[in-house]
Amino acid sequence: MKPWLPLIAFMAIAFVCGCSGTMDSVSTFLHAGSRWSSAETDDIRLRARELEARGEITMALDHWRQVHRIAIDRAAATREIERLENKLVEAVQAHYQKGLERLRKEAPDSARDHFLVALRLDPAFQPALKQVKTHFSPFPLAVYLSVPGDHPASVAKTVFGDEDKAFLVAWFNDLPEANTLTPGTLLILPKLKKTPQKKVRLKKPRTRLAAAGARMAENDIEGALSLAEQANPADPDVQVLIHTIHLKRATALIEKGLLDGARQAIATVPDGFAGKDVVLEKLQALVNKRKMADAQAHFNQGRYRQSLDGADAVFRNAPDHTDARDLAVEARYRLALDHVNHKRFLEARELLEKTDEGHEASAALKATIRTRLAKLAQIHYRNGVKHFINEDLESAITEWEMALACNPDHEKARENIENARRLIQKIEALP
Amino acid sequence: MSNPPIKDAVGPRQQVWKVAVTAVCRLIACMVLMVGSGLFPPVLSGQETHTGPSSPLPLLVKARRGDTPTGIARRYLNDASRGWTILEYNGIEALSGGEAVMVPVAPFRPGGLNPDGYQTVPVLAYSDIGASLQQTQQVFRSAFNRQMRWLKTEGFTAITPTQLVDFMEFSGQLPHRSVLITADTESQTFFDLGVPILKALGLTATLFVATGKVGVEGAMTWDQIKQLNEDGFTIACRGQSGRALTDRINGQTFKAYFESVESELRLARQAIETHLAAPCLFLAYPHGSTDELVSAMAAKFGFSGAFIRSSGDNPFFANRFGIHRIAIDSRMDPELLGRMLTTLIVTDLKP
Repeated sequence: MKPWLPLIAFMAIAFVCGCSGTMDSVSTFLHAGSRWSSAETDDIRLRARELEARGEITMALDHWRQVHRIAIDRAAATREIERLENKLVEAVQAHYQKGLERLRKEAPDSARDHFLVALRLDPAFQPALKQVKTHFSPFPLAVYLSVPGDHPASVAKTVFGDEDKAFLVAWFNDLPEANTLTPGTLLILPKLKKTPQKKVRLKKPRTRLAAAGARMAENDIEGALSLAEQANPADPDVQVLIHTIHLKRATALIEKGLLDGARQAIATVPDGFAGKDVVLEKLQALVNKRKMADAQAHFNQGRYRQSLDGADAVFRNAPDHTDARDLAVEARYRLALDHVNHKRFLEARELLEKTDEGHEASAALKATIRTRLAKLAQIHYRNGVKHFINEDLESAITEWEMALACNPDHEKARENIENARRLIQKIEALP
Repeated sequence: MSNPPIKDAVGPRQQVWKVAVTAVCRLIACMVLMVGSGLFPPVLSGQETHTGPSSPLPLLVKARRGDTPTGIARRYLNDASRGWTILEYNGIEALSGGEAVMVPVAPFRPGGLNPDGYQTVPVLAYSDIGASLQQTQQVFRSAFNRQMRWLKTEGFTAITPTQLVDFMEFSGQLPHRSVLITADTESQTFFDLGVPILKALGLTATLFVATGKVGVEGAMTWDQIKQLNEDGFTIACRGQSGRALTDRINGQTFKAYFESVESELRLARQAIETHLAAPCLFLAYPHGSTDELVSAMAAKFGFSGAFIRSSGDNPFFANRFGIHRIAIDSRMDPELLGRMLTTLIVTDLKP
C-alpha cells in the first residue's frame, strides 16, 4: 500500500466536487443546517395552518413536511401530513368527478373550474390537464386516421368537401400529393370549415351611434363608450346605448372581480333601466361570495366573532343563502362555547338565543348553560341573603339582581329585591 | 545489551489484508473530513423526494441579515431572476433577516392557479413610437414613457414570449403581475425613441418585424436588430411584407393564395434565422387578423405561439395560436391602461 494513495484519492474527489460546484456548499450548510429553534418551527406550523385555511393545501402540506424534518416531536406533524395527504387526494378526485359530471350536464364553465381546482391541488394530475386542454384550449390542427384506399384528394373531399384541396393534405403532412396513403396513417389537418362561406363585407356605420353599436357588437366596450359619448347626448337612443354599455361594462368588471369599478358603472345607470336589476344581483352575489370566503377563513382560523358577523351579514342580504345560515349557526355555537369555557355564561346564553333549535350541539350547550346559570343564580341568591342578614341592603339587592340575571324565573330573588327596596325607602323616611 | 525484539512473522496473505484494511480506513477518514468541511453537498432541509402529489419539497433556509430574495435565489437556485418566487411562496413583501424562508425549487402555482382564480397575462401591442403624432397608430414618445413608467411603478414584470408559452404549457409560473410588451414594427424611430425608454426601465419587449422591410429607408438594419436581440429583446416576425395574410386578392385561386401565405411565413422565418442565427419562434399575424388556415399553417411551421390584435384574456389554457393583445395608442393614459390590464380572473378555486 502506497502511503500517498489516499491523498491522491482525496485530491481527486475534491477536484470532482470543485468542478461540480459543490465547494460553495459550506456556507449553504451553515445557513441551512438543522439548528432550528422551536419558535421557528412554530412559525412554520402557523403558516401551514394559515395556508390550509386559505385553501393552499399543497403548500400547507409542504410546510408540515418541513416541520416533520426539523421538529423534535414529529408525531403531530406526521398526523397532519397524513390528514392533508388524504384530504388532497380526496379533493382532487372529487373535483375531477364533478368536472366530468358538469361536462355531461353541459355546464362547461363549472366543469372547467372543477378541473382547475383538481389541477391546482395536484399539478401532476394529468386527467384534469387533459380535460382542460381538450375542452377549453383550442388548437388549430385536427387529426385524421386514413382508411384503406385513401389518398390526399379523397381525404380532402371527406374533410374539406373539396378534393382540389388535396395539396393542403400533402403540405400539412409532408407527403406527395399523388400517393395512396397507408391505412392507419395519422394525418394532421387544418380545421377548415367544410362549406366555404362567402365573405360578408360589413358596411361602414354612418353615424356615431351606429358605429358605437357596431363596436359593442364586437365586444369593444371602451371603444363603444367613447363613440357613444361623442354622439348627441339629447338623443334618447344614445342614452339607452350608453346605459346598456355601462351595464355591459359592469358585467365584464364583475366577471373580473373588480367590484368598485362595477359599482361605479352601475351607479351611472338610472334605476328601473332594463337589465340593471340583473347586474345588481350579479354584483351582490359576488359580494356575498367574497364575504362568505372571508367568513369561512375567519372561522378556519378561530376568529368566530368576525366569522359570525360576516355570515350574518350575508344571511341578512340573502335569506335563502343556506351556506351563510349554516356558517353563522356554527360560528355562533363555537363563540358561545368559547364564552362558556371562559365562564361568560350570560354572553353565551344571549348568543344562543338566536340560534336554530335544529342545531343539536347548540341545543345541548344551551341546556348546559341553563343548568350552570341556575346554579350560579342560587349562589348569588344566598350571597344576597347573607348581605341582608348583615343589614347591607344595597349589596344584597346587587346579588339578587345578579341572581335574576342568571335566572329570570327566580321568584324569590325578585320578591326579596322589592322587599329590600321598600325597607330602604322606610329607613330613608325615618326622621 | 540485548537485541531488539523481532517482530512477529506475518504471512503475505495477512500483509495484503492489513494493507487493504488500512486503505479503507484512510478513505473513510477522508470522506468524513470532506463531509465535515462541506465538500459534499449538504443535506438541505427539504432536498428529498416524497410520495405526495406535489412537486419537489422547497428548501428551508435561514435568511442572513442583508439577504435579498434575488441573492437567496442566486445562492440556492442558481438563478437570481427567481427571487420573486421566494416572496410569493412565503407571502411576504421583503426579507427582514434571520427568519426561516422556504425556497421553492419548482413552480408551486403552475398556470397561475390560486384559490381566488386563475392568472391571465396581458399582452400590449404597440404599432410604433413617434416623436410627433404623424400617424394615428403611432404612440407619442412621452405617452410611451408614461405608460412604461406606470407599469414599472405598479410592479409589473415584463416577460418574454418564451416565458408566456411555458406558462401556457402548464410547465412554468409567472410573477402574478406579468405583462408582455410587443411592438409590430421595424422602424428606426422605435429603435431611437422606444428602446432607450425600455432599457432605462429594465423592461424587455418583443419586436415583430416584417423582414422584407428591414434595412430600407426609415427602418432598422439587421445589425441594429441583432443588437436588440443580444440586449435581451425577443425578435419575431409578422410575415415578410407585413401584409394581411387573410386577404385573398380578387380572382386569386385558393392554391395561389395558400402559396403566397406559405411564402410570407417561410421567408420571414428564414430571414430571422439567417440574420440572428436563432430560431424564429413567434408570429404576430399581420394586421392582427387570422383564420383557421393561417393559424394552422403557423402551427405547422413550428411557431411556438402566434398573436392576434384583439382584447381578451390569456390564461394558461388559451389558444397559443390566437394569443390576445391589447392595441395601445397615445390616448391611453395610465389610468385607462390600468383598467385594461387584468391579471387575475376571479373564480372560486378553493377545494
